[in-house]
Amino acid sequence: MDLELTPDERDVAEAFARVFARDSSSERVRAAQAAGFDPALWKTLAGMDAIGIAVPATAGGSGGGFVELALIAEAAGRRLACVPLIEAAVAARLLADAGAPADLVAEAVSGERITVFAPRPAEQGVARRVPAGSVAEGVIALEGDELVLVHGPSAPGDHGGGPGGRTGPGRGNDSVGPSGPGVAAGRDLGFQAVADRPLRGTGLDRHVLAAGVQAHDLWRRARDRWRLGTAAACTGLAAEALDIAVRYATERHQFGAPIGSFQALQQPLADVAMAADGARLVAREAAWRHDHGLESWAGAAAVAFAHAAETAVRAAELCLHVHGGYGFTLEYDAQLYLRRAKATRLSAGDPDLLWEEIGAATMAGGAH
Amino acid sequence: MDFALDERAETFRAEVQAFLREHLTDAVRARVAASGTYHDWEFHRAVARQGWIGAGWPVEDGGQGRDRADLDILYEELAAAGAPVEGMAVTLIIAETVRRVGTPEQRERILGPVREGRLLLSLGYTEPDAGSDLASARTRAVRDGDGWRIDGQKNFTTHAHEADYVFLLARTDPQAPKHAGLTMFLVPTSAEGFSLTPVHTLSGERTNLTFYSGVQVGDDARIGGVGQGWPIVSLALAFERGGEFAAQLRRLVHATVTWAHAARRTGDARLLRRLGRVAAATEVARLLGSQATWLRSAAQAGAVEGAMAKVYGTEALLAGAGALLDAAGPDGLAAGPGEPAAELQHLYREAQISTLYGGTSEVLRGVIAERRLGLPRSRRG
Repeated sequence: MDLELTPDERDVAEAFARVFARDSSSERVRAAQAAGFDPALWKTLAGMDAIGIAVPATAGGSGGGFVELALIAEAAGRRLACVPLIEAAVAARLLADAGAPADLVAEAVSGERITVFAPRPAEQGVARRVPAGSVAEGVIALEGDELVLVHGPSAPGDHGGGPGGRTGPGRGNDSVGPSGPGVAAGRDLGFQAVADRPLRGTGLDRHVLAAGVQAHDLWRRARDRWRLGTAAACTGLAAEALDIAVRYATERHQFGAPIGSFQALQQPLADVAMAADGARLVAREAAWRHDHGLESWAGAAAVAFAHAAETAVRAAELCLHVHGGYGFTLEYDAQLYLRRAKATRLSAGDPDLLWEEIGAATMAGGAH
Repeated sequence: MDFALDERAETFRAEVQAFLREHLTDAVRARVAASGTYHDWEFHRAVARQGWIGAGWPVEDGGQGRDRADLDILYEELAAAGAPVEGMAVTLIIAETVRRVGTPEQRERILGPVREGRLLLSLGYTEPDAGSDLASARTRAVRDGDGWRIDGQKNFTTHAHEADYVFLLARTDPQAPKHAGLTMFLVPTSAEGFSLTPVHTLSGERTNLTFYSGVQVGDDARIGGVGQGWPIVSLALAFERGGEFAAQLRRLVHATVTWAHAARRTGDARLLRRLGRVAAATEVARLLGSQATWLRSAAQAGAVEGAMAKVYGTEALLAGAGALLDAAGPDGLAAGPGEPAAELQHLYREAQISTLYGGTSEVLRGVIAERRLGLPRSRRG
């Protein structure tokens, strides 16, 4: 075992950490939050071949793996990047795996036509609450026994429109500043451009990628990869929320002492530090297992998502709490972390169902 | 980044598992359950015959020179099987300290017999009034001719009734600052003036109060320099390991699966949710333990990470054992020895002490807050 990143891995992690620090600053995130999407950041990532990172070179991707994607996702999560990186990277890989026409794969990989994966099966012909649903042109969803790619008439950059676009308050409104009422209280808690996407209807271009058992297998594998990548993003989010909380606790004085010297704050911060370290380790290990072709990767991805998503919420809630009343105001970033964490966790559905799934796998596998 | 399990180490794991199938018999388990002593001489000697006591010591010290990965596997498998190795684990912490700071004569007297499974050592750190504040020890050691006279008492001197020596933290200079006036001794339990009284616990494990009334020892009983007691306690803490906390969680998962099959509850959604949490915590605890081991192997300290593995693993055990026992309901509480739910109840009982020994969760979280997160030192005594 060697937990140190290889020089190549370190290069990836550091390069993307720099990009997100520069291009997904708090100001940029705030500017993008009404739309839930930052087109300039998307272009930058596409230019760095991040979207096709896990697509084999033979299919037009960069031929990297999910370890690289996980490292990029960690960096993105730290900065609350307003781009559907995981959804698009998983979709691109899925298109390649499904043997989709080369031009469809190429469009997805290049980021020209934003194509995202819907992590939950469609209900009655609609992919519900799809992250980046209001900005993506293409959505891949499981509809009954069919795995479909549906292109809608949404033009990239037209955040207000698009099929099934939100009609909530603040749509297309980029005036949300620290003092604005804004969409913070609106429908898209995690500012991820979430929207419903109908899969049938006029003006929709529907391709069936696979049907029957094959559709379910492809979809499940993509869903597990989405869990894996999203777990890594949650890991970064949790780590940054913890760092912010620790910084504030060190600077803020109350009762004549830095509040971080109070045991009542040290104890929960230490708890989150353990959970966050653990989240990074399980997410990275799951990605490593995936890239090494170990069967156990899917189960590890479920564990990684369940734990990392819970830890992200816990870290963000604590971060807000450590800031006291200030943390509740829109002026501080704590609320941004909390909203993104909670929304990310729930984008997979009710967390209890995932614990149940992990429990059932454990019960079936006996003690390991 | 490489999470690969070392193939050679996994072969060793299989070897340990085979050993346990042969030597961790029902008779051993029955003796341990009856005595409440998590040490069994027959089993202990069988482990010794494998050369596994002191397996990590260099060959020139009589060890097998095994690396941390092997040692983690050894302790993890012993713990996962519920083997009675607390006596051995404590003995090794002390023996390792003697190996590092003892005189040649002390190393000669202690290390060989420990390795051969003939000598057992017990920890005499805490006292009735000390709790987790070990440095407040009041047991006195006073110069007496060439040797020392010891008076005081120690609490939770577990398996002292089987041990040959107590590794005793004593105050040698009451005038010196709290942490500076302490010295370590190896006090023979055969010495005149030594006595003990059993203390029984919630899990059925027996521990002891030990008393030192004018116990005379030679200066050769002193381990390390006079006034060096605290650095030595700190050194010994670093020898405590991380892998066994995930192993305890594995035991809980195994116990739950076994019970659920017997109780026909394998499809119970509420139970599965709780089990899912414990299964995930097992993975997290395992990796936190691996992280500590890896840092130590890479000579990057790893002591704080060890504390993280300990607190995370034991807190998850406490919460998980409680939640899973809840799922068994009143039947779980009524389960007698040998019944499927009995192990759940036993682990719930054991979990209560796990967050207290070897540093309480609260003390260790304070260490993590200061050393890992860099938070300002908290106000305390």
